[in-house]
Amino acid sequence: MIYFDNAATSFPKPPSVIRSLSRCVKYYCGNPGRSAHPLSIKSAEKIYETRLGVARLFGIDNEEYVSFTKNATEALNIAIKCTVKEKSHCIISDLEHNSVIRPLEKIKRERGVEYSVFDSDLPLKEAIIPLIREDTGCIICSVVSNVTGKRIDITELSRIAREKNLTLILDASQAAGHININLSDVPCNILCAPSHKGLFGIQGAGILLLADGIQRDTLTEGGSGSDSFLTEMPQYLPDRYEAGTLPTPAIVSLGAGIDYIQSIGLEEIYGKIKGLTEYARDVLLSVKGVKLYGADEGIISFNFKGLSSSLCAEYLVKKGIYTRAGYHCSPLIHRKIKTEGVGAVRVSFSYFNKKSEIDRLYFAMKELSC
Amino acid sequence: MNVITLTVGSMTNAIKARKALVAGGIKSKLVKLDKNKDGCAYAIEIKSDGIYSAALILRQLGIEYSLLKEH
Repeated sequence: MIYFDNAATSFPKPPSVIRSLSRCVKYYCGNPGRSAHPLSIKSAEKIYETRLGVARLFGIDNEEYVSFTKNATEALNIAIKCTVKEKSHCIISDLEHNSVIRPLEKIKRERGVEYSVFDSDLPLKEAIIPLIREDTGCIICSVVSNVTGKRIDITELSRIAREKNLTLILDASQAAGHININLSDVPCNILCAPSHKGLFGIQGAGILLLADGIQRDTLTEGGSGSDSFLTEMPQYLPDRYEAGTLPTPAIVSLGAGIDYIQSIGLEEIYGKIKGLTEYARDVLLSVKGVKLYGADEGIISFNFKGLSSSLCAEYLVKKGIYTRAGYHCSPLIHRKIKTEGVGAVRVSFSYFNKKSEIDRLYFAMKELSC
Repeated sequence: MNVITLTVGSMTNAIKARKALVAGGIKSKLVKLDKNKDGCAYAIEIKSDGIYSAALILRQLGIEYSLLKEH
């Protein structure tokens, strides 16, 4: 089996993540922040360590700005719905996932919010500045497209947001774990990421990094483990955004994933994924009938002439190669690259993929073309 | 030797406080209280002779605390 669907979820996980997860579930997984017995305290300590790891990875001093959600989608829902003001205007890129578009569409219907879409192929200043209105309050942007791998220059984006006094929300779902995002160099207000893609944790946790420390309204209310007689969520972070029992095993696995990444080094991981992407791009371009839509940052999308993306992906499964076909929950970019009606086959790499696996992809596609 | 309980609020604060106190050479125990003004809260128990150093450490960390009791 060749796994080329790391943009959906990374597989396999590092052995250290599996060991960490197993130890947690086997030996100490109590409910963190609820009781004072050793299992509860140990679980809380492990979660605190993961908060520290996330803070260090993204270059922020205060680990309390790191809240855990159940996935990046929930983090983005909180970020968007608790930040964007009624009847205000937002700017998003044409790379955005439905985890940005759908919450925006909901508050468009409910709160009279409007949004404009910028062309990610243009230089950022040229693309964004003309869209800014008097009522613009927010820019929401993916760091890397989950379809084409296109990467946004977040340094420039951060500069524009600060210059124009706009809140910046970053979706780092496809960037976290292999691209260095240091928020002390590239400030943003909120960063969201999942545990289970480039950060090598299991499914079930997400990161809501409130880098500006501003306390916003809440989306979900429930038990927080302390101050039980208060009828509102606590004002202090991270508890304010962590209603209910946290997904302790997922968070522990995220911590172990980050430790693994730090032990290898982001640069090394980035270099390998870049190399695999470039190799796969060259290999696919050499196959007659392949149309490439984008190839960058570990993600390549393509189609094969005369075949729908789902049939092509099905053929590849029979060859033991696992990819994702369709629209990848990102309608805007598919409209832009004119793949409405056919979708695209997406191949996405992790640090664990090899060039020899890409060679197998080449042979499979070559057989198809013959 | 008396024991002092310092209420620090959330579990996150309690863990942070305890780690810092241990690193500062102050033995501490994490406990849960049910008689805080808004309900339950987490607290740190330390020996009374460590109170000044503990207070300094907590202030440096920006952790708000209240002295609940000496017992």
